[in-house]
Amino acid sequence: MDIFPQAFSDAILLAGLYTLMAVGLSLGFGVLRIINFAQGEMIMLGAYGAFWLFTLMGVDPLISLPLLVVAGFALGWVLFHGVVAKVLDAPHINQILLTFGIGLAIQHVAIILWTGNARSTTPDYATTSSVVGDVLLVHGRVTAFAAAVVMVAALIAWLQWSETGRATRAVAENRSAAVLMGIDVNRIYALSFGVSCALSVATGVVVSFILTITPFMGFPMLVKAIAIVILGGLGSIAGTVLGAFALAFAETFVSYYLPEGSGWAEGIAFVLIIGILLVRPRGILGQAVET
Amino acid sequence: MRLGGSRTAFGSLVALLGAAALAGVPSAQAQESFKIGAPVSSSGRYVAYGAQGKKGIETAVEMWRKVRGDKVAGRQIEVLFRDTQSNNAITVSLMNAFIQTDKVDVIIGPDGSNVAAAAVPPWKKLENRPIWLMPGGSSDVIEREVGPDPYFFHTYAWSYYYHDNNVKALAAALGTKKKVALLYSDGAYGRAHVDDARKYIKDAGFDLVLDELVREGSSDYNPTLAKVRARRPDILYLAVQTNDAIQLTKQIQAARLNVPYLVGTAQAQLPEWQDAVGDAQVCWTGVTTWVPGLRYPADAKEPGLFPSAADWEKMWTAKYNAVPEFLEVGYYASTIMTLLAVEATNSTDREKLKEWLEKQEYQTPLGSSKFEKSRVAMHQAFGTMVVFQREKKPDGTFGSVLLYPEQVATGKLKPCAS
Repeated sequence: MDIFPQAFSDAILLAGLYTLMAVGLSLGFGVLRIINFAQGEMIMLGAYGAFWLFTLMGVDPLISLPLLVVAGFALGWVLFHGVVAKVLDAPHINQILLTFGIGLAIQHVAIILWTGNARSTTPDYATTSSVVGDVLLVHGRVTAFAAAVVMVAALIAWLQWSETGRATRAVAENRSAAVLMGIDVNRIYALSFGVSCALSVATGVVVSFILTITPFMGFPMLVKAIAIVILGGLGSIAGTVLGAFALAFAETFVSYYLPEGSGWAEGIAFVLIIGILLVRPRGILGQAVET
Repeated sequence: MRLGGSRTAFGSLVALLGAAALAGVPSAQAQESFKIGAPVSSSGRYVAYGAQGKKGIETAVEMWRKVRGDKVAGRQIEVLFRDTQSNNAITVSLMNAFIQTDKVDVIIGPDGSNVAAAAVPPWKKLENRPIWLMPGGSSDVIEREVGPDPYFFHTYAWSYYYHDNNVKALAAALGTKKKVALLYSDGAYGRAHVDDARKYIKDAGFDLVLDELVREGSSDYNPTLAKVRARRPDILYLAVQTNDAIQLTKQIQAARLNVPYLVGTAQAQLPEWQDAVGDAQVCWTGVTTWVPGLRYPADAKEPGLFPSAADWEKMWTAKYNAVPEFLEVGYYASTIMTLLAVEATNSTDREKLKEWLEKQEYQTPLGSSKFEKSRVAMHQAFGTMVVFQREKKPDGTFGSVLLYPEQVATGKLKPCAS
């Protein structure tokens, strides 16, 4: 049996997940010029939110998704005004330490509240599948892909056609010009940080039925998201989508076609990223960033 | 006058001090205590194991007080619980403090294999190291690190016992003319298990058709599962740690592999795996030292401390409103054994305790407490493992059918529904 269609389908589904995982980070950096190192913990909080709503109240993760996205946005808004706004003009090392510290604090609170036990949500679609031609489609992954497409499409539509979205792009492009045009930059910053956190929480909700939930799940995802954002080009949403697809295809095809490929997949994917960055240091669609 | 007066005063002083000293002798004896150092992971990633260990020790001391009274050989029982925070560096500090500052008589613990391995060097380097019972760590790396040390008593199964028992159970149920696909993770757990899993599978005569590494924490195991599907094995044998086992179990269910027998190691006994995978747990086999429903008899000499496994399980369930976990029973049995050792020898002397532990044999809820040599270690007990299969009962709850060894079996190995 030809495994190419299966590998291709798995890569596409994984790419959707990776896009959702990285797009919030990309938006946050594009507008605020801050890499939020607590982004992984936002994913973790989304996953726990979905888990507890599913376990205690029987709420399907897809039903809890809008509710948790709003909660994620509120958390981001509060974090921005309470903490992040104070370091906007500080050196990058201060910003990194601050967001890293927020992430660590959230992680440790999660350990205290929920222990280090591994968990997962188990809606029916998490463990069922359909066969289309020669391709096996796991319903949980298809659902996650669909949710990711909807969320990313909504983000792009907001940036493209809404007034606040256009203002956000203006701030990302040239902060000083945006100020001169009368845009409330601080409000846009708060909005962007909130949306960025909401997207991470959404990622957590969809991975809650695919991956294993623990307080430590955020950091490996953050590393992958940063790699995708760098590969695609810092601050470029389209670049992030391309970066996610590049990483997902590299990992999946190495896993399928090399002996013990699963073990090599991440390593080779990151070698590929290094190779691309050597040729094009700004990433696939990145522009020069003034810091 | 002054001299005479001084003599009188001096004599009085000596008499007073002598009297005080004499009066103080029984007082000091009464204050003497038997100290157990208990490194447990009360926070961090091994917190679930730490909670089990603590509860096991506390219940053992409580049971001792109920059956034998508050003291052991005239000594107060003092347990010093210290939190490893699931952190190797902190575990090293704790072991040093137990031995050099607290001067404990016995150490029981710690729990997860990582922190247990970290505890070895600080204990091993000290000449005056106390007796150490380890009812937690299973990695044979620990065994190699400790070596044939006379003061180390391992009271849990080493990792290779899992595969020895698993393979024997499979061979007994299915014969060895079967194809096996082995998946192992590239983390510490998989690496510690894979060589022995491979060895026992091949030595038994099974056909190992796939021997594949999976990435720990991978986002997608479908590529690996596609390779399993292509080899059409009769048995899928998994050696991965719990986090990956959860994701893999769900993906295996979704992938419709049609593999008749799904074999796990430690994860199938853990409530966190069972809760996280839901219906996908059905049909998986696991291997453990303890599973509810064991039928070991009570000890003839100490039925109050070591009742039958069924009675002990009943006692525990009534007390905590939960079935006992494998570490709880292991820590319980280990603690009772140290208390019996102190009482029998009327001493906390390391040599006397060691000699007594080497000779004792009780029938505990976890099986025989007799120590034997393992591959490297001088003292190994409770290595008898039970192989079980998860099932869904008619009332919708999940349970385990005991498959192996034959004397504890409550059912036969069943193939998974395709």
